[in-house]
Amino acid sequence: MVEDNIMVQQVLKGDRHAFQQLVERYQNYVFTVTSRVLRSREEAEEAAQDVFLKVYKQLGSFEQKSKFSTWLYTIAYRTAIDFARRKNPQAYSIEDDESYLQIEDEVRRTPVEDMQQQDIQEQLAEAIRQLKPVDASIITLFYLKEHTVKEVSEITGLTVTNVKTKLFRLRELLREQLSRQLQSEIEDLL
Amino acid sequence: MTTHDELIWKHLDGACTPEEKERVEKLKKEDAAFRAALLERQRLDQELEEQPLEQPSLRFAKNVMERLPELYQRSIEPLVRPLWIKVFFGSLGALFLAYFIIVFQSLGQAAPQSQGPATRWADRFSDLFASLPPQTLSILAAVSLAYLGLVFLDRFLKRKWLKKA
Repeated sequence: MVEDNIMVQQVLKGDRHAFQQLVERYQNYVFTVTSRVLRSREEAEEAAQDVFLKVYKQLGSFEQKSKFSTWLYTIAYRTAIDFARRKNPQAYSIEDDESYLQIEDEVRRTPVEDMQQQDIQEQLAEAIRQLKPVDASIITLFYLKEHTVKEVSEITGLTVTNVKTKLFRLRELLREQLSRQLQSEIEDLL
Repeated sequence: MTTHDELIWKHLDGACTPEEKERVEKLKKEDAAFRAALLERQRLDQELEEQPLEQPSLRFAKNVMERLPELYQRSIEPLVRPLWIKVFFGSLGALFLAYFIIVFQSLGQAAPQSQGPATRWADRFSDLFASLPPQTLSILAAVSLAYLGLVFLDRFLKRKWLKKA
């Protein structure tokens, strides 16, 4: 497989086909980030398209100091957050340090029992979607392509300590939400 | 949340210090509650890692490509570097010039005149041409024509390809 940076050079020389290859390579990753932040599939797809348009327009300014994927995810993260903010400006406080508790009341009221028929993976994806945009991005980015805390910090612009703290709290929150399903899975395994 | 929660996640992220690793091993052996807590988080961690990627619509890449603006100019490396084209045309020009000198000199030989250095050089050049076998000149002419043909074909195809792209 041709390396990302070589393909970037080809795009800068006017090779649109190379850009299509980059889109095809990363579309699922970018769409996963946007769809975990934005609950509607249509919005997530529109945001993901915007991400690639921004990438194409800004490619000339990409200095290749970091990995292309890190740069791409930074744009994906910012675009998704902007979309979420535009959709509901009051509900999302990006700078709020207590965002680990910013799960919506509606979700808190929804009993986990309602989702028992669903597969645990679907429940997990749904639980992540119910998080605040920044939180949903952090947990998605951390597990997406096995990013390190440092990379997530680079992408989101948060400090490493902040990312670590948020990750800990978010995972505990998800564990509490899915406790029953996890327990039954463990019992099945034992 | 217990005091061990943070330690468990550090352990699962592979971020424990040697002392913490030792503590985890000890707790795993001695504390049943710790083992249960570890197992539960391990399961969640695994589920998170195995989360499938979301897939956009099948037309996604095409839609993106259709929305792309024309930002970057197509550029193709020429078949022959411009410097070599200049060298070639320069040499060809020099040859023609030399040929015309010879022609003029042979016309002027009809009238007797004193031989200057320029005329002597022209004579030598004329002798050089005369000593060349006729095939060599034909080959040189054929190579030059083929070269010219390729240069023009390259330029024509490049223009056509850029228009198409």
